Amino acid sequence: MEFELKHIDELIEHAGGSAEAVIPILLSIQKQYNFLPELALRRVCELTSITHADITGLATFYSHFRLAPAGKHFLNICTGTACHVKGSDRLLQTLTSHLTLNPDEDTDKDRNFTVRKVACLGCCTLAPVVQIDDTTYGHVSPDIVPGMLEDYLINRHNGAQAKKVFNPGKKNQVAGEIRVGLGSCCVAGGSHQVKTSIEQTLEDINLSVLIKQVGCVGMCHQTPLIEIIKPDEEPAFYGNVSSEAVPGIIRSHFKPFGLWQRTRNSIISTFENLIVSESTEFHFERYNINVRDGEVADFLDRQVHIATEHSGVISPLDLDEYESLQGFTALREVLKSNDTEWIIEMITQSGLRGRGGGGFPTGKKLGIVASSKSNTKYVICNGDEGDPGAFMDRMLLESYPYRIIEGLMIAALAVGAEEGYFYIRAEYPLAVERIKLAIKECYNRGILGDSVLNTDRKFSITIREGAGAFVCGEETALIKSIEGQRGMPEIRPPYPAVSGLWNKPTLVNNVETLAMIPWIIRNGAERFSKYGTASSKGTKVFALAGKIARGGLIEVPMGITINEIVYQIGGGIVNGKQFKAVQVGGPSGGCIPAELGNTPIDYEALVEVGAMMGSGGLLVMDEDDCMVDLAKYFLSFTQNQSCGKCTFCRVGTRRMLDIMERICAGKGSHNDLDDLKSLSAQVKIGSICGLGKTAPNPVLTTIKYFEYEYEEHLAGRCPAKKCKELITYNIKDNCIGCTICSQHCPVDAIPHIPYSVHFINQDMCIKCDTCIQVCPEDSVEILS
Amino acid sequence: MIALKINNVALTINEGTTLIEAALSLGIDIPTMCYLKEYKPNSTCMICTVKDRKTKKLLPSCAALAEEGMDIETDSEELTEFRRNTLELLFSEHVGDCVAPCELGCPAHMEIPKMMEQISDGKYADAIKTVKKDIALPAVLGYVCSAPCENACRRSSVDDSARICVLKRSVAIIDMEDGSGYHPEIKPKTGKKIAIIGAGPTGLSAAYYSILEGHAVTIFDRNEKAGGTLRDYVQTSELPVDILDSEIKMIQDMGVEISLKTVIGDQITSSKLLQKFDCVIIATGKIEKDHNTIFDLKTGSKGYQVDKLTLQTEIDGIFSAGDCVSSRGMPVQAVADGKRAAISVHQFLSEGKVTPVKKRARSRLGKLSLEEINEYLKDARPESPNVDSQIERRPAFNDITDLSNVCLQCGCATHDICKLRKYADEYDADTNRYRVNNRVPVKRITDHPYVVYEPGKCIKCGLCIAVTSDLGEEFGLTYIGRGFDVCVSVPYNESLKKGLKETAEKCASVCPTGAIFRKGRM
Repeated sequence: MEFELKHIDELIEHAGGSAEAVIPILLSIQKQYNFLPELALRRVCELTSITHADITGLATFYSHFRLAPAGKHFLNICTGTACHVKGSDRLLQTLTSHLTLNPDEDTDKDRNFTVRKVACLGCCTLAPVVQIDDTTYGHVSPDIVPGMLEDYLINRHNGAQAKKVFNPGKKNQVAGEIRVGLGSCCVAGGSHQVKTSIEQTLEDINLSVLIKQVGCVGMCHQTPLIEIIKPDEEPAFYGNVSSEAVPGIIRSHFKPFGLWQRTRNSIISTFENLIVSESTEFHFERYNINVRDGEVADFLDRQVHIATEHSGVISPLDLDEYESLQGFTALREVLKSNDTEWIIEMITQSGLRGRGGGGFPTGKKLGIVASSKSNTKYVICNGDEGDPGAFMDRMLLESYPYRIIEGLMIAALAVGAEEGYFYIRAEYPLAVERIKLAIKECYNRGILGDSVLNTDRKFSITIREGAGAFVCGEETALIKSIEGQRGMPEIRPPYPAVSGLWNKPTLVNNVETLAMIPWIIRNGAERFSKYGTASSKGTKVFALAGKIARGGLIEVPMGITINEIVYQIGGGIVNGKQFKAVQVGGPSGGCIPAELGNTPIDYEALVEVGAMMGSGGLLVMDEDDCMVDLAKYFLSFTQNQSCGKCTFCRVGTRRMLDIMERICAGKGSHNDLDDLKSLSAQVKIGSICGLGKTAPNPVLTTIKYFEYEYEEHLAGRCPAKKCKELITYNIKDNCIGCTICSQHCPVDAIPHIPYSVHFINQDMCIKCDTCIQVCPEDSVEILS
Repeated sequence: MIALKINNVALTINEGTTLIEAALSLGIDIPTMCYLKEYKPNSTCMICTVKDRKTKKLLPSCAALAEEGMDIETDSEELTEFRRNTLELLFSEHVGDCVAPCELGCPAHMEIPKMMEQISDGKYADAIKTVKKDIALPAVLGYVCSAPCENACRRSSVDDSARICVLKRSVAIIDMEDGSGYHPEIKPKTGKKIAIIGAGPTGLSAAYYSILEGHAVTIFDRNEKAGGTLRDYVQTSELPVDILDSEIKMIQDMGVEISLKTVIGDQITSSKLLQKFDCVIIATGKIEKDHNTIFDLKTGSKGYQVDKLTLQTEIDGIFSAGDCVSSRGMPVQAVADGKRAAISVHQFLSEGKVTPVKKRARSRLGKLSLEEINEYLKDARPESPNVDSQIERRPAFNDITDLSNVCLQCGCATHDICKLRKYADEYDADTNRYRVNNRVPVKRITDHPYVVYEPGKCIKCGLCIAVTSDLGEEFGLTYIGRGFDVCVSVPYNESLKKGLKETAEKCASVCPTGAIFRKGRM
């Protein structure tokens, strides 16, 4: 413990002893020990002004912190929307039973793994996703769980993957470049391994080609993604690239240097033929961007890139490249004109509204902060995106850090602030890292600091990491969190624009909103407002996921209809199923049925049908999705994230969830449905912040459009065959008795009797769906 | 200055004034639980919500600031519904019995836990007051009561029920032994006269509570001695005759006239009775089938037909109670009915009409697990004392103390001042509306010398946290966790004693629901 305390003392020396420093200190302690030892907390209180009451209040408010020691590895199960729809619950159940955890335990007896349910990891296209420490496993089905854990303990953890040392000697430089997507989705999809494989292949064929790491391309349904650019060829996209497939792809574009080597390689390797003949052998698909009627074209054609300008081209941390693509010219222009009214007028004219969900006119907000009289003002970039199924802000922060910084600086100049904050969730380590590096670079180049771009203006930026509290996306809670308190929203007014951080006028803007600002300044308000509808201007970034052929991040002009997004950009529903509904706006939003597919993306139009713009999650559902289960899912999310202040949000959402659970278990009554409606109405009006005010939306819209499904559940049936308590698994007579299901069943509910029709022992069955997935004859059915 | 309207009254007020303060300046009281003027508003309970008619928004008045042009209403059907729902949600997670099962089980609803505590503290003079508040003949009942309270006693799942009946008897006998005894205060004479027919347990009880209100009371009985069915217990030697006689005498000493060997209808006609008295209470005991009913009142299968809540008969001013109405044959029920009749009669005489006493809102725990019982055992005597159950009059003083110490004090110590309960009554909240089957277990933190903390009763208002922080406690209290699972606790699970070194009393005094309460509060 002596060493520990010394370490804590150092931390405090570094972070300072003010209340503001306490969350960063706790994050550091947690990073060091995987939990917050009580002695460490007590030590922090001894050396700072922080009280025991405050520090324990904080440590237990933010779910990122844990007070009990953890196992050697964190096993994070993503509970985002896409993962939920694809069965993360079943996965959790399997993991729990495999590790023989009791209901109140999260760590196995060998203390190898600590299982945590985590908010969306943003790898929605790989759902369901499990992350063990830094390794992400995608498409995890219950039957591969034992193998996955073994794989991790034996291979990854022991470092069996030897790092390849490359020969830095002379190579033959070839024109062209290979772009590798390094957004979180691509990384999770394995883009680091792909990059290693590219380097290895180039080494093998003795070529040197520029490998460029680019930000998110948006085509998350194809991760990992590489693009090969050659001067005399059309650029070529490769999706779902495995590291094994890399040599073939590289060789098809770049010939080994020298006749001798080329001959040797063509003898040794038959890759090229294989690629030409059949791509499936290597599990990659090839799209040529020049083929305008191809899938890529569909995916990209309807999009307009403003927040995601230079998508897939720009290297996130290359400041020179950013500047060469007009980066910071908007800031320079603003500095030159020194006319804050002009900036605010331009933003107002553009019609830009807050992209975080509320849709408050950005120009107006800037105006209020600008006119608030105070010597000190603050600007905050709200990067606490937490909606399950939404990862737009993460992608923007990771891919365009300089653009966000530029947007924040322009906003600061407009309102007269000299200090800015980035508030980013701790679950986005890559975004934090990139913004950190970008800020450092900006200081180095004189963009940030006491003399911004050699003018008399000064501006500094501090990063604050969130610690796992969705409610901190609400601006008053966010401010409390930066101040080092529990993230409890406060009643407004006073608005932060008048009295915010440390009671000073504070501008809080969402990442995406800020990302739009430089573009607007450069291109003018008119060009921006050309896109969109009467009241919703410009573009909106969405995370498109669910039962759709092509999911990913898209930026579309406002006014585009839901049908256009689903069918044109998303390529329709997979497996020829019926499009049923979209869920817009995540836990605050609502479900829009397929019949209303012509609803445009527009703040008011979405509210009119019972949904809301929200931050930009767009989940597509097909006939197999249970709307009652979905409503329960979103409600359980908000219920879990409630700060616990207002009675209606704290207890009311819990009682609503009780009712939803009863209904999904087939134990609901019509009385329950009435109570659900009246509670929804009361929770909406009786909560002071947006979380509570919108929490009932998913329930209300599903009742509005899918009341039939609720009625069915009341009668004990789940039409989509999703709700566990209402379904049974059954093996049909066409079973060939192959025993595969019996071998895979995690609870031995299927007796091992070869060559006879199998049957499921219903008392033992945990409805994990494994038998259906492994049955070669489609002999397993679900009855409801 | 800011100009606004509250309940249609215009006022101007300083900028930065909260709506609750603004309303108070007009003498308008807005209900609140989590707000106290001296602390920064937390706006958690939401019961203080008011409506701005202009924006149609509901606002927590404790935290919302008055704004120019607001048009506030502090009461409306919508707000009543809203507040009722708030209370119903709070009750849905409220873990505790407002009233102990024994007290609920007692037909007279005697405050048993309070009596137990007073006995335990040796405060017999206080205990007899508590007893006689609801039971006019405690010594008698101490012999003949069937003690439904003891059947309900939670202690019975550990070893034996608390010996409530014997203790009540002891309190009464100690009072008799003491020369001066307990003489309840009798209110000034009202000049109203009440006739009671029947000097049995119901009639005597009705007489006792009627005379306390300052009315003149005459009991008529056809027998040679007062006591009615209670004399049967003397016959069977269950009740010592001197006990009965002395409790009847106590009532007579208070001024109650007892006219024996008087049959209404024979010696005194009914019409004469009605002329001479302002009210009549019929308490003649079980009526035989062929019995001539007094005043030709309607009878049902069990007896006279009365309004079940007010005990009024169809004739104005005539009430009936006890076995002649319900024929339950239970002395404690008879005594309880007598008191109820007295209350109705007093209302009738003072207000001209009778309004039924509303049942108070209450939270109930239902069955407790053994672990939960153990929580209550923490500050009770671990095992029941071995005291002979066949005591003639009363046990020795030290045995009485021991017997009283087995009480688990499982009722709520602050049920009479609890704001949650008060507002639940006011807004007619259904405490079971959102009740769940999987409530959190009862927990009682009793390590502190002055206070007890029951987290299950906490509404998370944060006032105690503000107190401890304000007064600079080293550990104090804090919110642990968030959302539905949030609870108030001492940091690092330190003891309550360590958390509340200086502020325990203050915390108990600000707690709106008695989650933190002073020991000995009963």
